[in-house]
Formats: sequence, C-alpha cells, structure tokens
Amino acid sequence: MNIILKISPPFVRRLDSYLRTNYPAFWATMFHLNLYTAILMLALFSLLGLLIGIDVKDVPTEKYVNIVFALLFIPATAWLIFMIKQLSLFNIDKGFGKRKNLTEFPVFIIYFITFALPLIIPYSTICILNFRTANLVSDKEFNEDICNYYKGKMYFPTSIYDYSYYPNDTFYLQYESSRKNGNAIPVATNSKSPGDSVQNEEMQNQYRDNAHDLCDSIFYEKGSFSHSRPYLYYNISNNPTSSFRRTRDYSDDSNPALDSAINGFLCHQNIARDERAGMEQILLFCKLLKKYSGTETVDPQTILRDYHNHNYNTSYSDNYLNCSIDEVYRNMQNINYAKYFLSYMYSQYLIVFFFVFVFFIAIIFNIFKNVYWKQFLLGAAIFAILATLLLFFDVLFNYKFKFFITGTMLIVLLCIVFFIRGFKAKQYSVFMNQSTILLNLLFPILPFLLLTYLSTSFDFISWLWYGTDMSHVSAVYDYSYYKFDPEYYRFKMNVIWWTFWAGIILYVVLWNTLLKKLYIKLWALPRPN
Amino acid sequence: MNVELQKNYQVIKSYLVNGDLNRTGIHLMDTLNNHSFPDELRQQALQLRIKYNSAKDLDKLKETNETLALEYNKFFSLISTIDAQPYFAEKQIIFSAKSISKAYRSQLRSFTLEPINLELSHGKIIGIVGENGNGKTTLLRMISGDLSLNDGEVTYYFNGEEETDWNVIKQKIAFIPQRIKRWYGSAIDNLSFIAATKGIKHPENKEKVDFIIHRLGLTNFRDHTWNQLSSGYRLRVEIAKALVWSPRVLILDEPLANLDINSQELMLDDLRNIADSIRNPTGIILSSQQLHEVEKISDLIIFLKNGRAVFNGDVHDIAKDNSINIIEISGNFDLAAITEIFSDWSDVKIEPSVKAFQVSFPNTYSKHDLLQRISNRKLDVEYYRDITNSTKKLFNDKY
Repeated sequence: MNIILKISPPFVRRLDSYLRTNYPAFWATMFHLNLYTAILMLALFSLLGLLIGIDVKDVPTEKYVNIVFALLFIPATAWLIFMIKQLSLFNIDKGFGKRKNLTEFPVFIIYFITFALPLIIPYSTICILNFRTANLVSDKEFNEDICNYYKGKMYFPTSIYDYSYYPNDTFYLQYESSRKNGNAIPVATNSKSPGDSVQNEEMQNQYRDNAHDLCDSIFYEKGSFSHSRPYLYYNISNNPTSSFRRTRDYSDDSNPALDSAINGFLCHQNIARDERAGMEQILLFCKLLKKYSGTETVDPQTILRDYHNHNYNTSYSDNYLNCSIDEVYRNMQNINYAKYFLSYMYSQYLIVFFFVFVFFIAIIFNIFKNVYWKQFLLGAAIFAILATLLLFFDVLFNYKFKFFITGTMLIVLLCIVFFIRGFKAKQYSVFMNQSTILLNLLFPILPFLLLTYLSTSFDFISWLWYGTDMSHVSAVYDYSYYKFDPEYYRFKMNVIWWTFWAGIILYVVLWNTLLKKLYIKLWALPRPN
Repeated sequence: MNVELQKNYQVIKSYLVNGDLNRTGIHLMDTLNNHSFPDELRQQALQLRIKYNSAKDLDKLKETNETLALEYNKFFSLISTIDAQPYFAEKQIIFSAKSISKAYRSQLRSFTLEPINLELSHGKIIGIVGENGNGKTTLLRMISGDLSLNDGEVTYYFNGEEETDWNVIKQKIAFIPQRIKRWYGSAIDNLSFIAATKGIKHPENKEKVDFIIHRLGLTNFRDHTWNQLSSGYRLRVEIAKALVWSPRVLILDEPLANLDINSQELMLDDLRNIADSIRNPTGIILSSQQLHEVEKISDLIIFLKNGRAVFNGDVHDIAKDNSINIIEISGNFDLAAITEIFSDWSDVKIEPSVKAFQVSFPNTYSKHDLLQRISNRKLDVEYYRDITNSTKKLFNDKY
C-alpha cells in the first residue's frame, strides 16, 4: 500500500494516518486506499473508453466490446489479487488487539465491497464505449433509419427469400390477412413444402402447381415463366424490426408502432407499386448506405427500373452492394445493442451469480484472516474431500441427492456441536478449528441446505403449500411430464429465493460475528505443540 | 524534593559527567515521563534525544557532541531545580505458575520439562538461562499461553484479579519470539497501528509512538521497512512495538542472540529501566545463553538443565552455595602448567575449553592464594573471571 500512498494526494495520506491511529480495524481493511485506487482506475478505464475510436461506419461489435472487457479484466484481477495480499498483512485479531463485538459486521461488508470493486470497474469502459456508440445516432433518427431500412430494403433484394409469388392481389391479401392472424407461413418461391398451416386450399394448390416453374423462371430463366417476368410480392413478417429489440429476450416486441408502419407501407406497395413512393424510399435507402457503410455508387434509377421490370434476381445487385447492405444492417444492429446495452446485460441470474461469487471470496478471505495458513489449506482440502466423497457415494448408489444432502446435514450438526463446545475450550484443537472453518463455509447456505434436506426427504415445500400436491401428469405424444400449478411454482420459487437470502443475511448479521468470537478464542488458546 | 527524583537526578548527573549522552538522554526521558513535569519539558527532552540520535546515526556525533553536551547540561540545570511528583504505580504479583510441566514424545526425540514454580511481580525481571535444547523456549511458550501444559497451572493477575481467558491475557502481555515475524510497511506505521489496536488513540498514540521511537534510538529508522533494517534493529522495532502499549508482562525469547556486545548492553540497560519504571513497571521474563549479562539485570534466575530447573530463585541466592570456588582462567600456559599449579591442592577439577580453563576447587583454598601462585610462576594471565557467584557455575557437572 506504500506505492498507493506515495501517489496519493496529501488528504488521502492524512486520512490514512487518521484511520490508522483512531480506527485500526477499519484501517486494516484498507478500504480508503482501495476506494482511492478504484477511483483512479475508474478514471483510467473511463479514459480508455473515451479514447477507443468509433465511427458510425465501423461500430464496435458486441464481440469486440466483450474482448475489450476481457482484456480489462486482467488488470482488474491483478488489482484484486494485490488487494487480497495487502488486506492480509495487517490483522488486529492475530495481534490480540482490542475489538468491539460488532466490528465484524461492517468489516465483512467492506471486504465484500472491496472484492466487488475490481470486478465492477471494467464495466466503466464498456459503458462509456456503448454510451458513445449509442449517441452516434439520436434515438429519433435511429428509429427513422430502421423504418427507412425496412421500407427501402424492398427495392434491394439480397436473398431469394425476399419475394414470393401469389396468383393475384386477392390471393395475396387473403394470405396477408391469415398471416397477420398467425395462421399461415410465408409462401416462399423455393420452399419445398408450404406446410400444414396454409389454410387456403386453393392457394395451396396454386402454389404447388407453380412453385417449381416459378423458382426456375425467376432465378434461372427456365420453365413456363422463362420469357416473362412474374409479378412477385415482397415478403412481410409480423415483426420486421425484431432484430432491433431492446432486450435479449426474443419474445420482446418492443417496436409495434414501427412494425405496423413498415408493414403498412410494404403491404400497400405490394399492391399499388407506387414508383414515386418507391423512388423516395430508394433514395432514403441510398442515404443509409452512404451513412452506415460509405457506399455512394448506387444508381437509384437502375434500382427502380429493376423493380419496375420485375427483376428480383439478387444478381442484379452486385456483391459489393450486397456487402454494403450487410454492413448497414450490422452497424445499425451494433448501435441498437449499444443503446440498450444495460437491458441486454441485465440478468437476474448473472447478478446473483456475481453476488454469490464475491460473497464467497469475502468468506474465504475472512477464514484466511482468522486461521493459520496451514489450517486454511487443510480446511480447503477437507471441504473438497468431504464434498467429493458424498457426491461419489450418492452417484454410485443412485441416491438421487438424498445421501449428499443428508450427509451434509450430519456434518453441519457435528460442526455445530463443536462450535458450541469451542466457546468453552481450554486448549486449542485442530479438529475444533477445522469444524469452525467448515461451518464458516456452510453457514451462509445452511437454511438453503436445510430446505433442500427437508424437501428431498419430506417434500417440505408441498407440505408448506397446505399439504396438497399441486402437480399433475400431462401426456403429450409419448412423453409425460409434470406440470405445476403456476401459483405453486411461484410459491416454490419464492420459498427457495427467500431461504437463500435468509442464509446470506443471517450469516452477515449473526453467524459471522459469532464465528469471529470463536476464531479469536481458538487463536488465543495454548496449542498442544 | 522526593527521594525517587533525587535518585534519578544523581544517575543522570553521573552520566552527564562521564559524557554518556546516550544514557543521559534515555534517563532524562524516563524521569520526565515518570514524574509530573510540564509537557514542554518532555518535548524539550525529546528534541534533545532526536538531535542525539540523528547525529549518531549520521556519524556526526564527534562534531556535535560538545554542543549537545552543553544543551543537555543546560537542560539538566533547568529541571534539577524542579520538584515533580512521581506517578507511582502499585507493584503487585502479576503472574504465577505452579508446577508447570511439559513432555514431548516423538520418534526422534523425547523431552520433559519437569515441574517449575514461578512468580513475577511488576518491576521484576526473571532470567531463564541454560544451554540449547534444555527447555527455555518451551517454558516461555507455556508462560505466554502459546503452548499447553501437561500439568500445573499458569495464572495471571490484572488489577489484583485472576484472569483465565487467554484472549484477555494475550491482550495484556507481549511475547517476542526469537524468530521475529515479518511485518509490513514502515516501522512507525506499524507502531502507531499496534498502539491503536490496543486502544491508544490520537493524540496519545502519536506521543507514545514518538516517545518510544526516540527512546529506543530508532529516530532515523522510523520510516524504514523490514528489508531496510538489520536484525538488531528489527528486534528493537519489535520491542518498541511491544512497549508502545505498555504491556503488563514482557516475555522475550533470546533477545540478545543477534546483537553485538554494545547492543546487548544497551538492550539489557533498556530492559532494566523498563522494569524499573515507576509509572509503568513491567514484569519481564527473558531467556538467554548470555549468562553473565542476564544475571546483571535479573531479579530471579531459573537455570534449566535437561528440562530440570537446577536453580530457581533470587539472583543473590546463587552465591549462597559457595562451598566450591569456580574460576575461568587463560594465558600463556597449557594444561600441564596449570595442573602443576594445583598439584598440592585436593579436590581440584580442571576443565579445558576453547576460551579458558575452568577450575573448581573447595573454598578452603583461597582465590588470592591461587593468583599468588600464578604470579610466583611468572605466568601471564590474559583472562580471569570468578564465576563462583554466577549461574555459569551451574554448567559444571556437579549440578
């Protein structure tokens, strides 16, 4: 920490000195210096986020952002290791200093924050990078761009799936109507089978008659339509803008108004084929090409002429243009990701995983601070061996987790007996120390373990649900599965969720302080040799 | 003027007259600290000590010695007219051990420390002496609560009340093992941290740290880290770390092992002064192989031999059993020559060693007669030491 103090402003050094002489327990956590380092690193990482070059024609991809994040994680992890080493250097308890009973409570929380900080700070670069990317185009302009992209894309076919054949407008409108209601699948010209869900039998027959010939004539100039250009309709999907979602959830329909506006235009154009409106969209699409990919070589008249002459073949748009359209789409998608980065990142499970990870680092460090390092390693080995043995026998005899959880509960009970006896001990014992270490690792999940034990052995959660079994067997084809009552499922999840948090809270508020008392006592007791 | 203060003034004056500014400074600081002098005077004494330490560590003592001596004289003249009241602390029994014993059994070695009784009061020093592997460290570890007992009991008394909780006991005693545990950061940061953990907060924390730093001659080493200090200074910092919070008992295992002769003397002087402090009289237990040196400062001596306390009592009681005279002698003579000197004496035992011959003879023969015989034979004596009243004689096979 001398290095950090040397580069610190005088007020940090004064604070360090003040805390050392007045609040040594707090000083030993080095939180003030850690916080100062965190601010420095935050500034540094943020600066990095500001310095990385971005352009609307070359928007950082999600993969690129993830690589930057992974690289920043290296110094962050190094910092975390450095902090752990520094924190272990000064110890009030091993030097038999005076401490208040409740000191351990804030100290543990400080440890938790200390270990969380290095893991959080790399996000600052990512957030700033995404913020800058998101602001390359304003929200309003971006929505217009999405709208223009999908409207204009009609005139720039890049795939054989873009257009389909319908015998006439009535058929098409019938199909559109059933599609909107979710009763039909698009009648792609090269589809092998229209599928069972195509409702209209006549349309289905028509399709079957013409599908093969259409495919050949449109794309290979063969078959019955070889000398004429068939009239095709641009394919419309229910959610054209689904690639521009606001979350990672695919079921999210975040732009219904935009989707409706786009689909309205496309459907109308499929019937009306208004070339003036078409020209307008082609020009707007050309603007997008220029804006997001720098392409300026497109001739709008040629595009419109192709549309007018029913040239839907992708070969009409050369590969260069095809690439440019892809580039526009990719850059727009990346901007969209940047705009909704936080909601993309948000995951309840990810946050819980992060919390538990940091929490257990803090617990392991806490154990390390309280025992001799050889005892710490022995504790880790015992924990690993016990867990492996229990799992091994559980799997070997197919106890379906019952053996594991029953064994764990027995170990916990045994440890609790030693935990209570420890407070009256007159002489240090390795066994007592080890049982305290085991208990320290298991206390945070003790209520959870108890719930698991009661549930696996006595179906406890169902019993809680007034003893009624809320599940029933459903049969689908040859498979049968349990389908829970949604209310029961919610109840079950709530019981698990709150039991988990009860364990965490109980540990921080109660067990940690009691464990500390025992650790201090054991540390002070005379050893056998 | 009170007697205690007068005694102190006399000691300081004698040091001043002899030009020993190191001891003058230390005793001045201790005297001011133990009596109700104004804070400004304490600060002045501290500043003089800082000047001395700085000059000494920078090898400028010769140049500044005269000025410093003048300043000390002036300061002494100033305070010697002041009659301050001493901060007397009650001296009580602080620790007792009854029949404590320990046995190790292993395939390689078995060792038994036979039952030992001990009692320590404030201001007393117990010296534990003996050869390697005779149980000195074992005994100290048992006393400090680091090692469990096979038998007997160790009891600490704080403010007259018996204390059995080892956590409380260890908060009030300091144990400095022979192999000092590495510490991190600068010496001064460690001192202020340790003092704070023992409940000494700012501004008292700074005062105590400054006092102990300059008192123990660590002025120019205050910002040094572990790697920048020699083993002797590491020990000094370790002692400073213990003394800064005024422990009730200070237990030191072989504190003289890594020190040169001058440092040993200074260290022992310091320990005696710490024990004698009237404000914070500390009970000290130390082990050492430097028998003569330890004897000089100890009130009680325990001599361990093969796990047995062959002597356990007042340092003056060693002289009681003087039926045998024991001397160490060396010079330009060999074993044959010295044997010839004692040829007509009975029950004489001569044991040669690397350094000198150890000669034991009944007290019916006079030591003066012995010296006369050597003189008559015109033998040159390089080294002569009478260890009849020293624990060193306990190494003799008789014991």
